[in-house]
Amino acid sequence: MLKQAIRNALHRLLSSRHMLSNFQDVHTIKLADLLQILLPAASKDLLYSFAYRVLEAAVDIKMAAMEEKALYQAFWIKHSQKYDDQRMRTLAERLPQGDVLLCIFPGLERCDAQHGQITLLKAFVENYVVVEWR
Amino acid sequence: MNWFRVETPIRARHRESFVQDIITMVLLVAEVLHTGIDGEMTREHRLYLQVVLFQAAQVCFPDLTMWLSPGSIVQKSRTLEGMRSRLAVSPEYWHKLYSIVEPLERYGASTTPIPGDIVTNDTDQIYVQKFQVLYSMVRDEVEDLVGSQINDVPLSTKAVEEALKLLRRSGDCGGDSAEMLQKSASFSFSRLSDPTYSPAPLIRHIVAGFLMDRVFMHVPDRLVDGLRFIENSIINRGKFLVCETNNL
Repeated sequence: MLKQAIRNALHRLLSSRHMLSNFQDVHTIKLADLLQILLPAASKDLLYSFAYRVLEAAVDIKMAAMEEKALYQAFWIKHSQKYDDQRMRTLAERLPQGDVLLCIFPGLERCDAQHGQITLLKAFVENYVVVEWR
Repeated sequence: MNWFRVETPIRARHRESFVQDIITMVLLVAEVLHTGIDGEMTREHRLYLQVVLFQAAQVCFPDLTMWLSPGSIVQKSRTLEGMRSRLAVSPEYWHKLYSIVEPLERYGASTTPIPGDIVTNDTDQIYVQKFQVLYSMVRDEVEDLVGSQINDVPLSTKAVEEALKLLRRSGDCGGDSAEMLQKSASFSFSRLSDPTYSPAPLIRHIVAGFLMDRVFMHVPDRLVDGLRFIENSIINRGKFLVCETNNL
């Protein structure tokens, strides 16, 4: 009950229109600013538009997942971890070798008391060998 | 803008051919636009076309997604357009249009499962689809961004430092990325201006890490304060608080 109450309170707090809107605005600017440094030739409008939509979709997933009884959570693969076929995949045609260099996109897992952690979507990674090959 | 509306109910067996007629008609109009305006269909026209298609079909048949593949429509309209627009549309206008078109795009993306995915029940399927849509959005749009914006000049030392600082500030994933980019000989910001390597994986990694730090793993300060208060209450009042909550 206590856990549910905290989750409900969290959901109410985060879903207030003002807070969500403020959160999204602030983080759109942060992400767009970061991308602007890395892609200086890209137009500001394009980067803001991209950042806004990506954040909107991510927040939408998080808000929906918070209402579920099971816990859905994204997981990240850190640099230099050993490649694990159960939780990771690469886009490379040849078999992945070596440690993880980059996590390209997080995976998704469900955690509940009955089944523990179940990987629903494997994280996309690139390892050293693949990057050297490009 | 007047949306297409059908007042007369149409029997189920006629629905598919009727919508196919609408699609054909709109695509014909699109072809006229395609050849008539500067030889290329603009993004605005493409969006207009998708909106017309989607609204028309949705108004006619609420159960549209059961038997029609909007992904194929999007693909057709993209082919016609030649993918890129030359019309500058304001971000607000673009967002407004996109909010209408997005359901169509989402459905298109969700109908393409990624091999190797493990899906266990209906609710899982919903979240897997949502996640795949987000993945597709980041993948495709980053490809577009880096494809059209090649950096000829390497980033300055100051820009690299600023990027690393922002990465570290974003959270654990960003901090890990910053560390990797500083240490790794095989991958660094210099790759962004190297014509022999695609910068897309690095940009996708940074965008995905930002989403992890600031959305999926982010806990707002107000919530941290609230949790701290609850924790203190449990430590101080312990059993009483738990019993009280259980009786609700």
